Amino acid sequence: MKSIYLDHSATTPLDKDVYKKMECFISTHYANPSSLYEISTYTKKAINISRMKLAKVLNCNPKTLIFCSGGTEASNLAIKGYASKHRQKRKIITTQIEHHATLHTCEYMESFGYNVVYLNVNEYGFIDFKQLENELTDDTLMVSIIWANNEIGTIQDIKKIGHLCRSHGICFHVDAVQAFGQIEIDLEQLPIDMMTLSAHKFYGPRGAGCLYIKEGFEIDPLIHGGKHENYLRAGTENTAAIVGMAEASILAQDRLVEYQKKLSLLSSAFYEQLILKIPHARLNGPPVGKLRLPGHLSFSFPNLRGLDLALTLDKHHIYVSTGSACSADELVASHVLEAIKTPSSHIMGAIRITFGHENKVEEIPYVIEAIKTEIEELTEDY
Amino acid sequence: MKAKIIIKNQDNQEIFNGKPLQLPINKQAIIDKSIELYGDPDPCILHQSYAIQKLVEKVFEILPEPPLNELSLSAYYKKLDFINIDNLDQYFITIEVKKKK
Repeated sequence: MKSIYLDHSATTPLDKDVYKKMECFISTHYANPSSLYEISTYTKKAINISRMKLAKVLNCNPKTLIFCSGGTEASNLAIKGYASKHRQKRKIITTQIEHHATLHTCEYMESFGYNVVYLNVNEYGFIDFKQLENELTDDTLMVSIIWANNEIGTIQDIKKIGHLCRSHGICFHVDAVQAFGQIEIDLEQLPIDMMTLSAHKFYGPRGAGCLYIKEGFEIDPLIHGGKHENYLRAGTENTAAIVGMAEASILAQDRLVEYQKKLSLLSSAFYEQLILKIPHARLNGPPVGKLRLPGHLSFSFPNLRGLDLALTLDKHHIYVSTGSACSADELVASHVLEAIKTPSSHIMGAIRITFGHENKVEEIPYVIEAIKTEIEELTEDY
Repeated sequence: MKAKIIIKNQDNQEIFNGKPLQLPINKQAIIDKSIELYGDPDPCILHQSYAIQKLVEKVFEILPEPPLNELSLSAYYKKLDFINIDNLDQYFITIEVKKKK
C-alpha cells in the first residue's frame, strides 16, 4: 500500500539533488575544514561558499550567518547568547504560542530572574499589538516571536512587529523555521535583527540550522571551544549538512512561487472536501488564505483524541501529526490550542496535516474517507 | 474495521466488553513493544499509545478472521499473553464486526 506523508511541518524528505551535492562531503571530502593541507581546503571552501549561497538567498551579508545543529540550537543561541551579552536588561517578550525551542528557553531564563512576558493571542493566534507596544519598556532586552506557527499555521505580521521593536531600539528575534521555503524572506527589506532557520523543514538535511545576526548585534556563544563560526559556535563543522542546507535554500527560493501555489491548492481542496464530509470539524488557526501557511491545516474533532485518530490513520499508511503532547506520563492539550482558547470538547481532538512537494490533489478523497471512517469508529457506540 | 470484543468466562459472565483499543494490555508487553519499535524501555505516553495500537493489531493477526462467536481462547492464550486478563485460556471471545454503511 502506498503511504501518504502529510507531516511536512515535522520534517521534509531530503531532496535528491541536495543529497547529491552533500554526498562527497560524507565520503571522500572528509577533511577537517580547520586543518592546513590541501584536502581541507575543499571542505573549508565548501562551507564558505555555502554561507555565501545562503546569504544570497536571504539577501544578507554572509558574515551574519552562524551555522549550527538546527532550529532549536539557533533559537537557544539567539535568546541565551543575546541575554548573556547584554546583562543590564532583564525583560524578554515572546508569545504564548512559540515552539518549545523558544518557550522552554524563556522558561529557563525565568529561572535566572528574567521577567518573561508571554503575549496573548486571539482565536486565530495573532498577537495583540497594543499589548506588545505597552510591554516595550526601557528594561526590555529582546522580543522573540515565531513568524509562522508550527501547530496552527498563523503568519504574524513580522514587518509591523519589527518596526515597533526598532522604534524602541529593542532587538527582535524571529523563529522562521516554518516560514522559510513558504514565505518570501528578504532580510535587507525586513526589520529583523536575529532569525532562526532549520534545513530539514525545506528539504535539506536534519542536523543543520542557522542563526542570522544582523551587523551591529552581538551575542555570546553557547558552546565554547575553537574559533569556528566566528567564535560563536565552537566544534568541527558538519560540512555535508551545511552544504545541504545552502543547496536546499537555493531550491526553496527557486521553487517558492510554484510551491506556494501547489500548497495553497492542496490546502483549499482538502479543507473544502473535509468540511463537506465532516461538517463538525473545526479548523484551528486562521482561515485558509494569506494569513496562514499555505500548506498547513489543523483540525479538531469533538469527543475524540487526536492521538487515537493519528494512530488509526497510521494503519492506512497516512501519516499526520497529533495536536497533543506528553507531559509527566500523561497526555496533555497543546499549549497553542489552549492559548487560542479551543473549546474543551475539541482541544484533545486535534490533528495537523501539512502538505509537501510529493502530495497530490488526487490523494485527498482517500485521506478524507479514511479520516471519516476512523472518526466514526472512534466516536460511535458500536 | 469497526469491531467490538466481548470476552466471557465459562459462566457466561462478561470479563471484557469494548472496542479493540480498550483491551487491557500488560505494562511489560508495552515496554517490550516499545523496545522492539523504538529501542526505548521508558516510552512516553505517545509512544506507549503507538505500542498498544500495534499489540491490538496483533490480536487480529493471531485469531481467526472475525466475526467470531464465543471462540475458546485455550488455543490462543499463550500468544495473547500481552492481554492483561487472568485465566484467558478458560475464556471465550466474541468479535462483532460492523459492516461499512
